[in-house]
Amino acid sequence: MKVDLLQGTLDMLILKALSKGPMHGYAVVRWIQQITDDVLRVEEGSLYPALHRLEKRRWISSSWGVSENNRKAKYYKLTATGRKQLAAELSSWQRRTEAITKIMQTV
Amino acid sequence: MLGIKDKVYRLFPFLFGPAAPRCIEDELRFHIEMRTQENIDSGMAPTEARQDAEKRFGNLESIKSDCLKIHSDNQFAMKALNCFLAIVVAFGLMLRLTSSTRGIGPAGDLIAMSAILLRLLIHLRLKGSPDLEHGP
Repeated sequence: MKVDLLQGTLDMLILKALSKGPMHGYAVVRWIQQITDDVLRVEEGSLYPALHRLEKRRWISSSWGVSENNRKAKYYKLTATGRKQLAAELSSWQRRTEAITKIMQTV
Repeated sequence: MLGIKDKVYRLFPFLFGPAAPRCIEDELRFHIEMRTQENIDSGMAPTEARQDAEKRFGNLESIKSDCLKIHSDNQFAMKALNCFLAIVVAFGLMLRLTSSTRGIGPAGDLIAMSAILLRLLIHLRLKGSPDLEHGP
């Protein structure tokens, strides 16, 4: 079963993907699909406005390089500010999921 | 074959505004082509592979437009800066060409060269920034 991505979580997933190292947009999508066993459904194009927004906030930076198949590709990497933001988002996410889990476990 | 504008652009990219639309388009098309290739590698026919890649991607024009909107403030500032520096260069050259007084001509050169140098420095500083300059 595939599920739609929760609103607001795409940014966090992008930051998490880029914490693994520089990637182009397609690699970010592939990483999310592989890690979640293709369960999370992301309209692939929606990734790009998110990437550009994160770059404008200076949480990530970009540069052009050559892809694994020798094509010109734009690579994104996490900045120091982005790494702090990721830590803050992870902490907030954990608090939220714990709170929801508590609610769901009530009899 | 390259048009005059393209030739001038290749020689003096810093005289032009940002090339963000082309840059964004290249990035989005790269994604669709990668997905198409992956589909072909997994056994799809090329036409079907392309259609699937485009469907998964969503509305290309709308996404491109969304990306451009994100950078529009920066683009406006960059256009204003380009315009201002172009005026300074023109003023410097005009001073150089029209002045008959000794000492004014070199000052015109200096003004024009300073403006060009400043734009060049900005270009180098922003190299790789997708919203203002195009990549490689």
